[in-house]
Amino acid sequence: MKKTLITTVAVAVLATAVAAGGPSDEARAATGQPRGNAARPGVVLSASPTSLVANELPCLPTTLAVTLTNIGPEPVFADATMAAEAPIVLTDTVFSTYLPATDPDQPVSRDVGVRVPRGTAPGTYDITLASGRQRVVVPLTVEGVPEPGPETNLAYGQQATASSTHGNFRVCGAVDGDSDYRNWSTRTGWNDATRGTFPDWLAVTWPEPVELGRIETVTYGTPTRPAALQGVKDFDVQVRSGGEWLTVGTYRDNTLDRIVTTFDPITTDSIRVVVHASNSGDYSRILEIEAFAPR
Amino acid sequence: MFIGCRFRAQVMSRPAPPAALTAATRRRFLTVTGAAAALALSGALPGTGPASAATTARPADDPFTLGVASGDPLPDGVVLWTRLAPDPLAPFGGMDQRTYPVQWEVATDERFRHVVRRGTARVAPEFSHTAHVDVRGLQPWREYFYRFRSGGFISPVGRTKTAPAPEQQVSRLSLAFASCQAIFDGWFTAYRDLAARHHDVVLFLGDYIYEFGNNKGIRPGDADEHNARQAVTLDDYRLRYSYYKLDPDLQAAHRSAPWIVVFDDHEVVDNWADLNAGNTPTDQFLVRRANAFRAYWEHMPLRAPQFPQGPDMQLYRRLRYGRLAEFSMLDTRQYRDDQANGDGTKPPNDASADPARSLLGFPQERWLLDGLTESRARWNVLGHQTAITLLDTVAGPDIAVPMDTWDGYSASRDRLLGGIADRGIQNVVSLAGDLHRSVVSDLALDFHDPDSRVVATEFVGTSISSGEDGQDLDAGGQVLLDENPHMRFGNFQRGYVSCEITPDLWRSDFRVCDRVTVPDGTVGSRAVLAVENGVAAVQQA
Repeated sequence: MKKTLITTVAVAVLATAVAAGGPSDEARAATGQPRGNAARPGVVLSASPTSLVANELPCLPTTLAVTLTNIGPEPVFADATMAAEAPIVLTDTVFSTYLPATDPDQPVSRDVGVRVPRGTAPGTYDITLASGRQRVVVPLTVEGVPEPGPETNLAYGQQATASSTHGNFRVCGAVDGDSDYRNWSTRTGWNDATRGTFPDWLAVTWPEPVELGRIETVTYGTPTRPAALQGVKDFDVQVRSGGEWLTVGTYRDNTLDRIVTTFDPITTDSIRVVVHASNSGDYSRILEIEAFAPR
Repeated sequence: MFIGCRFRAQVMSRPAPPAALTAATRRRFLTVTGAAAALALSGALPGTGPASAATTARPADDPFTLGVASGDPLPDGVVLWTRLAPDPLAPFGGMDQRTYPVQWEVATDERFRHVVRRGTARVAPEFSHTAHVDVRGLQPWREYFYRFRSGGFISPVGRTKTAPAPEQQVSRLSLAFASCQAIFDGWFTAYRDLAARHHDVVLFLGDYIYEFGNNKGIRPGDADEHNARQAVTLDDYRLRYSYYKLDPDLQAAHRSAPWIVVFDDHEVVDNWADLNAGNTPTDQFLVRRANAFRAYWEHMPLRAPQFPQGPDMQLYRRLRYGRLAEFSMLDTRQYRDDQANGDGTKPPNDASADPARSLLGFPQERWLLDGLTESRARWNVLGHQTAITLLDTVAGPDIAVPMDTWDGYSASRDRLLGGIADRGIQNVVSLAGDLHRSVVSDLALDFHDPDSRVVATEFVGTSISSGEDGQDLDAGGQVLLDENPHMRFGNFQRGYVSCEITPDLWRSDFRVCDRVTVPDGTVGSRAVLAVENGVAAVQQA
């Protein structure tokens, strides 16, 4: 069903591209190559998915893939621009790329992050993509944040920050709800940027205080290279209360991949893990940090 | 590993970009980023052409935020570079989709009382509104000053210098070379020193940008997700150049002298090799390569022959400095075979020694040796990316060498050094970067034989900032000195190399920073090493 929708959009905008004469005329003039007898040149703009649903949790990635496809006989460079209705913010408002002329066609995409600022009213907001005379509108439905259930991970999607973050990782990967070691390489965890230098810290902050009784820290380990070889080794789990950091768990020589810290109920607006050493000696690696209300 | 043949063939037979593309300026589509190099290069002609909206377009704010540059000096000319970017970190640098006129002038004095050339370049959105003015008609081996004007705004003044006449006897040449400026690892303090020394020419040997970033909290921009993420698209790479070129020390270094630049891996992606980049499918990698090359050309003071055609770019080229020096600027990325044995550091192996593999590609290997053979220059300089010398990195009798340097392509090295010996080529000096450490070596025909003949000299310069502060001699550097008797000097701080070259002597001054992780580090001389005319072995100066 999803696939069909994409195709529909592409076909709908293709007509405009051809009517516009095809943007690769200019590139052909530059390369001096003759015009082919094949189909009229053109670049097709499309988006995937064709509609989005999001809420205002700051660390949940909502992304839109913007795709340009050259269906003409010559390679071209092309631009697309992206705009969203206020107050929605896009991480990128331009996409420029080389588009080879290949058979079959080679689509080229860029992921655009869609940010819903806190306080955004539920409703529908248009994201408009443009390339030449082509327009593609992707409606974004903003929903309210659901009320948490009794065993809900309260850190999920909340604002994560860190002492530093390696360029191949995202700090939000530590609160993305994915604690599967097999997805580590797809940026679902946090890896600090300062090799061999400690301490490092990873924090989660709430806009309004929450009551917590348990924090679970998941560090990186695999069956062949367990946490004892590359996970966090010496670390403290802390909860902010009255502006002070209270240590609720202290671990030394850790070899586990999931460490559960339970404590007397406390109302807090921020938690953090402070890492003093890792088992590999180089980086701090945390797949996920989870926080739960008292049972 | 010869799937890249099609692209190699294109490079060798590619015609120069067409000179006149006026048709391309009449029709403009928002969608098209274009491919008309000569458009931006037409600034060599002083005429302004027919009146149009373009001739009156003017930016609303100071567009010269990314400074000016000059490059690739010839006896009668030099390339002048600038970019109109009033809001350099915004899409399209804060410019609209119109073409703008940019006036330029070249004078013999800093106050522009004696202007010798002037003209108007048209800078187009397809090239990020960059100017690459190929000024000709200048006098050889002469200092000039240049500036640009757009609307009511005047650019900073750049100093440049033409190359000597082809047969000119030059008594002294001052040259700096630098590489590897990871902006997230430190401040470009070394460039403050470089700029103050007013060299005749600066060689930049690769890693001008990094395709990735790290939030280490060293610079204010570190936390911005656009600076920390992998550059893949053309807008990504353009933004990365904007971010780097905002650095005032880098701008000062460009203003101080003409640059001759080559890329290494990070202008595209870590350790790429021809069509290979990690596990990325080739068709996807070639899109990325085309995007990276396009942004590189746009932001470097390069001429039309270096303008990329999609994922191909003629980077290797030769520049002559009279009878004193000749620079063979190499491309060790675009034509190399994939790294042997999965890259990394390995014992020399059948693959790394395979004579069918090449670091330069066989056409470039021939071009290099033939050029060296025909050279009439005293100093034959290789300006390139990484170390030719053997780098045994493990203590004790075992040997392990990097698969990404010439060690991973030892047959290429043997052909080069053997060719230099066989053809009696004198005074070959290899200048390189990549290692993030200074390494000075005697290049011998057989590195494992202490009595082997030294046929060339190598100065590998450290990084401008990559690797953070470093230290004078780290454990790895001590192992290199212990295990590689042909290595004559090592240092693991950040900096660059300032050279003074006369017909009799080449002096390399290793300028190093005490710290680069703070903005106010200081720069001093760590060591001066020298090569005498006719004696390839390095000496303490």
